[in-house]
Order: sequence, then C-alpha cells, then structure tokens
Amino acid sequence: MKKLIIIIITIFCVNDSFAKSIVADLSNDSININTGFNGAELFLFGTYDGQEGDELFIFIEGPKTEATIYKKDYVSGIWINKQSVTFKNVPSFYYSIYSKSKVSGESLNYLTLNKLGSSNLRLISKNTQKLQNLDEWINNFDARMKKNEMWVTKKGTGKEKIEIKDNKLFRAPVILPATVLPGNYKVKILHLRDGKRVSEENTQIFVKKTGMGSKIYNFAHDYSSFYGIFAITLAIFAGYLAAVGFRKV
Amino acid sequence: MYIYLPIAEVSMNVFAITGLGGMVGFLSGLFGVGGGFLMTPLLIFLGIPAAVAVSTEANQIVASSVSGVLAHWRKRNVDFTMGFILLIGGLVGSSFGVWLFAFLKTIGQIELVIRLAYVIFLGLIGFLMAWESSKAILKSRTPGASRGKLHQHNWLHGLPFKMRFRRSKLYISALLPLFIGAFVGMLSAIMGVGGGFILVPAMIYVLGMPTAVVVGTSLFQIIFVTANVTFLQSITTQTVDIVLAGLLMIGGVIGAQIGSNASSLLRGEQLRGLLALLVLAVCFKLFMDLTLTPEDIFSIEIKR
Repeated sequence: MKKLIIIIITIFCVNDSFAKSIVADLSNDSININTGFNGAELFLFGTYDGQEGDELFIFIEGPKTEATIYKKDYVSGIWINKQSVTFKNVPSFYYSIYSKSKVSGESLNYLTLNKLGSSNLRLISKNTQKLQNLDEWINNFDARMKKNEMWVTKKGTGKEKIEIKDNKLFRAPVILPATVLPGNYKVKILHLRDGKRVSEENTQIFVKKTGMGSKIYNFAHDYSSFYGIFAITLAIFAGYLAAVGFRKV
Repeated sequence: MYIYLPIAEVSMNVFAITGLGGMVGFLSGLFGVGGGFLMTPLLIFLGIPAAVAVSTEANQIVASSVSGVLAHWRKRNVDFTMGFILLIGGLVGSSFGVWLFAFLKTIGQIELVIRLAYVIFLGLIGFLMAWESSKAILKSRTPGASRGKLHQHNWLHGLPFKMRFRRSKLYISALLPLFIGAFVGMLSAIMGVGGGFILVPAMIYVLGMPTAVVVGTSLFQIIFVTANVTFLQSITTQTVDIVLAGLLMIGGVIGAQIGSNASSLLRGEQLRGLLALLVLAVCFKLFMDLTLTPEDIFSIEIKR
C-alpha cells in the first residue's frame, strides 16, 4: 500500500512538473567582449504551458558591484559633485520583461516578496551614518540606471519586448549594451497564474573578455610596472620612427 | 569600424580617434605646439573617461616629444644642464601630481579638477596669445619699434644656489628651474599635457633663456616627465590605454607632417591668433559645462 502511494505521488509530481515546466534556451549563452565588441543582441526563446490570463516574466541580472550616485550642487559659480551615496551589491545590469503591460496586484506581490525586478531590489548604502532621505537617493539611482539603459524594464508583448504564441511559445530579444561588465548573467523565466508560481526556469549567460583587449587589460592590471615600461618603450620607438621616417633629406 | 578600447572600456570609432590624432597633430605641426592641451579635453568630449584621457595623453606626448627633440638635438639646441635641473623638479612635481590624481579619483572629484585646471590655463594662455598676436599684428604695421634689454634683473636673481648654464648663457639660481619644473610636472600629471605651453613662456620670461634653446630643452624635459607620469599612472590608477595611445600616435605623426608643411603658408602672428581663438573656444566649452545648470544634477559611477 505504502509503495503504491509513493508511486502515485511520484507519477503525479513528475506529470505535474512536466506539464507546467518551462523549456528555454538562448540564441547565444556566451558573449565575448573582444576588440570589435559594441554590445550584443541575443534571443531568449522557449515553451511553457500557459493559458489565457497567465503572466510570463523574464529577469536577467548582471554581476553585482559597487555603485555610487553623485549629486551636483552650485558652489561659488560652478557645479560640483557635493554629496554621494555608495551602494553595495548592486546588479550592474538588470533586464526585466513583463508579458502584461498591466501586471496584476497578486503578481506584483509575488515579485516584491521574491525581490524580483529592479524596483524590488533592496539597495544597501555603504555610508556608515544613517541617511534620512535614503529612499530619495535610491529613486534617483534607479532613474539614472534606467536612463543609462543598464536597468531596463519592458512591459507588454511586441517584437521589441516579448512575442507569445498560443500561450505556449515565447521569444524575447535581449540587448546587452557595450558597457556591460564581464561575469555571469543570471536568467530567470517565471510563469505566474493569479499571482502564484506555475513554474520557473533558470539559466545563465556568460560574458567574458577575450582576445587582444582582455590580454592588454590583464597585462595592465597584473603586471602594471611592466605595462608602464612597455607603454613608454612603445612611445619612444614610435617617436623615433616618426622622426627618422619623416626626416627631410 | 569600432574598436573596444581595453583600458577605457568604451567602444570607439577607429577613424574618429585617428582623425582626432591627425587633427591635433596637424595643429601642433602648424603652430609648433605639443597639442596635449587640446587633445585631452577633446578626448573627454568624445566620451573617454577623463582619467584615461589624461594618462593616455601623457603616453602619447612621450612619442611626440621624442620625435620633436631629435631635430633640436641635431642642431645642438638642447641645454642639458638646464634640462636636468628642470627634470629633477619635474619628476618630483609629477610624482606628487599622480598621487594627487589618485586621491582625487577616490573622492570622486578628479573630473572637476581636470576641467577646472583646463579652464584656468586655457583661458590664461588663450588670452595672452590673443593679446600678444594682436599686438604683433599692429606692430608689424608700425615699423621702427624699439628693442628691449636682453633680460631684466629683479628679485628672482637674488635667490641662492646660483649655477652656470653655458648653452643658455645664464648664471641664475638653480631653485628657479627646479620650482618651474616641479610646477609644470604637477600640471602634466593632472592635465595630461607636456606642459610646453607653460614651460616655454616661463623659460623665456622668468629664466631669461635664449629662444633658440627653449623648445629643444623643454621637449627634452617633457619626454622624461611624461614618461614618469605614464609609468606612475600605470602602477597606481591603471588608466594608460596603449591601444588608444597607439591610434592617436598614428594620426598625430601624419597630421604633424602635413601641419608643419602648411605652416610656411601662413604668417606667424596670424597663426598664433588662430591658435588663440581655438584655445579660447575649447576653454569656453569647458567653462560652460561647469557653470551652466547641468541637464542632470545626478550622475552615477559603476565600479568595474
């Protein structure tokens, strides 16, 4: 009897997860920042088992780093950076796609609870003293990250956002700007029904520096004194070559 | 054609960069100036981070000064004694400058200080050049103007540690070139310039050196000071971009050749007047950036 129950439960579970699961893939899951790099565009696509009214979410979170926001003030005739707040563990890139242009209240709750979407990040300031208007700083920071297209949120369906067919197939373009940081980009596809999770799928995009550019970067950072000498030698050689090459006979 | 600059970490059009190098090279060939004081602000306008623009430009100036000094060396127009004294000051000043640069970078004020330094010095130099060239143009129309003394004596000549500088035919205190070298060295580190535009007038008017040896001697000193800046920036801030420097050098070499050939077509004072206008224009743009209400009073910086 016990065995039978286990078998039944197992069948149900497997069947359940199979039916509701998302299968997703990326057109390219490894991006190389090489000498010719000027941003990248890739596609995230896959299938899910949805029905009318379901919501699909895609989140791509770049490597975390430290970020500072500066505020300029007018001091004796010029604008200078006067105040600043530094945040810890800030995603350098955050790309969100919401399939509905108007997200349901239940779904919003789910996102808030699970800290999904750039507006649900809890930014922590590095400043030791307590800031009274921290929320204001966070709002301003959020707005500038969006302006610089490092945090992007797209709502609704469409060619530029997400294309959905028969509540089964989805396809979304992902644009990585030229300023992206190397590292692992966590991709999450979330399928919600009435604010409850039906299924989710996680994958990754690897962004790494390759080619001559990355060699130069590593050389400059790991062997900086040799790099300095190399740069000077190169300049002296170039200068000498120019003088000799263009010497008027 | 875009190229991803490995240290600046921005993607730039190759032709925009070599074109800029060529344009500034052309002007430096035409006017006989180093061009760093134009190149660095223009690189910043293009979108290169200010810190990278300054350090990389120092590296490029090493190349342009080497190619410039060789011609003066052949003509024996380099006062090595004076050059060494200036250089000692220059090494101290530029080392301090790089330290100050790194400090300002950590407190987020380096952009401001670079821009301010440019506004002040470009404004000063541009104004002096405009004044001098307009005077020269007027003077050329009224012949028979009188010649002044070779050099005037003032309190500067009472300073101790007097030294003899044979090529310059001077007997003055070593403290003077030492101090001038240190001051220009510091500017070199912070502004990414050779400093010829300060050094040359200072050598003529403060030290009283004969004009013939001034350019060669200043170039000699600039090579080592900018090399020092390149090295120290490499180890402290890692902001020297050799790909960017290389592209600028290519453009600069070609531009300088065309410029120096074209310089014979225009008259000296008119040339200086044109350069003065250009310097004042760049100064004006930087000044407006600092004083006009910015589009956005917030800016963000992501640590890489």
